[in-house]
Amino acid sequence: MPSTPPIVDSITQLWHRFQGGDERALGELARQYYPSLYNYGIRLLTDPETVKDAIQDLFMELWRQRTALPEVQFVRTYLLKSLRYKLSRRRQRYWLLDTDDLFESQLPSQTCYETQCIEEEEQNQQLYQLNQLISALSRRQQEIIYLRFFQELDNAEIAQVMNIDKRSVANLVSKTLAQLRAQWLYSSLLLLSRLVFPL
Amino acid sequence: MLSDRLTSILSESMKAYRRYKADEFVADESFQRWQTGRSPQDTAFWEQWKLDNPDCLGELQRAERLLTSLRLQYPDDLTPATIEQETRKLVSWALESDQLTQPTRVRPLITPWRWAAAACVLVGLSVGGWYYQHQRPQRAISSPAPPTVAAGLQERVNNSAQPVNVLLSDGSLVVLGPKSRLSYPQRFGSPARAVYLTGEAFFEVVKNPARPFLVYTTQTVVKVLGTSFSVRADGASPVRVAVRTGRVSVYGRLDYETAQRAASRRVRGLVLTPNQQAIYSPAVDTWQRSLVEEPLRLESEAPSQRQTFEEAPVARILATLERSYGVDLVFDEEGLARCPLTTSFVEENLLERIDIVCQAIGASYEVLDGQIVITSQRCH
Repeated sequence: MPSTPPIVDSITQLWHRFQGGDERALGELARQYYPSLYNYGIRLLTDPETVKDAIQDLFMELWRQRTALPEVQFVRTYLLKSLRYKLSRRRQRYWLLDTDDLFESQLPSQTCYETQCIEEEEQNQQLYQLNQLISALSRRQQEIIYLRFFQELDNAEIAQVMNIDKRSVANLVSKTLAQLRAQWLYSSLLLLSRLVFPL
Repeated sequence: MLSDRLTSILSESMKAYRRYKADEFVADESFQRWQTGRSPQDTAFWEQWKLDNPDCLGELQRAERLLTSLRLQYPDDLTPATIEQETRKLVSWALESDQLTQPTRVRPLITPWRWAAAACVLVGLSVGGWYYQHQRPQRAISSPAPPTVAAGLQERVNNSAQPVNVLLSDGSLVVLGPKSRLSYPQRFGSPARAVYLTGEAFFEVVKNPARPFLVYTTQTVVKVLGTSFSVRADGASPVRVAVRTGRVSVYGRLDYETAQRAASRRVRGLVLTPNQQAIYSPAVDTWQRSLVEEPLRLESEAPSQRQTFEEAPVARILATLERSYGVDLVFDEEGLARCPLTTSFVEENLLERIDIVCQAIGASYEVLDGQIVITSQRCH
């Protein structure tokens, strides 16, 4: 999950120091945005080594061109967009939600009888089902949902990253969520929320 | 404080929200900002709305749950260690390329994290810079051309009177002497790691038997697997290669490159063992072997190998290491001012020395952001 973005001021300072040639700023920038970039990268490209190389290249290019870079207000959007562009130029293009293995490994192997165990199992089931629903969406929908709810970009930022119209983004988000809702099992959700969020 | 217009807009949306289903909340940007804690205004609004509309609580909770479930859909295998590693590679590279454009700024470039795995070897290479004057029939050399390497070559020129550190992409360190020049690829290609030297330099080569390290000079080629040696080729005296530890192969450049091109495994050269040295005569294209007369200590040598401490407070040992290697060490100066330690270092690299100290006092260390942070208990 991406870390909560720090307040705007310190990002601006960081970016300025970066442009000014401070290598430590480069390090801080890379460290801070690496989780976001990596997670996005492997959705688009799957091979971790290729993704890591691409991220290295990305930062190296930015560093080389640091004096010529624009004043960036939203660094994360800028980085994600640049990475997307970089990866889009490769021949393989995937949109991977996640491998089934990851979810399977989270499901308990044996049935358990204790309440907590049952809860966890249900929770995992829910996540797995949602995963299946999302996988059935179009690639574009999946990417928008990802950028919105994992990267926590707003519609305007998504529009920038994916280079599409902002209104299309907003429409697609509502439409997709409505679609998910129609298939989502509400009763179990309610049960879960009572157990997990005690009133 | 709010204008009337703003108030009426707000109350409109407040009413609209009452009809919302979970997915509509989730689609709403303001709701998401509240849930992710990114906006005080949205938080204030929604907390209030929640209080004002208790009958909508169920739908709100379903929305929260859906939002969380969506976020959890995207695990990855990234570890903090990977982030650290990748970040450090980047910073090393930036420091290096920065030095290229500002050759007068000399900065220590030692990154211990690479050396932990290396049999640290000190190599002093000084290589002759004068051009090969003598010509043999059918073997004319006009100007030596470096063999192709993976990427374009970078060049570090040291015009100052102080040595300059150059960190290579495999973690090897070159201490480039005054009035010297080193050409090297940004990233080593395969299978060999090749650099080109004019002047004098000291090498600390990361051991890699699968990828021999080659130092080309105008006239010679020195091949290293991971050893300590020095080479002097400054144009004023004959090229000299002397070995401290390990084995080094030396060749005349023409012979080496001819053999390479012919894909021949047999190259006429010389293998030097510890305490041996060889001097190259370009006129006759031969090496003269002899014993090293005295231990080689160049001005541009990396920090002294041998360090002995007798009942020295750990804080002082660490301070000494810090000075010798030019790397920032972060440690509890007061807390470690009283533990005496007796130890001596001979060939260990910096990380190995710190490791030894830490083991002795039950401390741990970590490389963070270009510094080494040592965590210890106060000693009595």
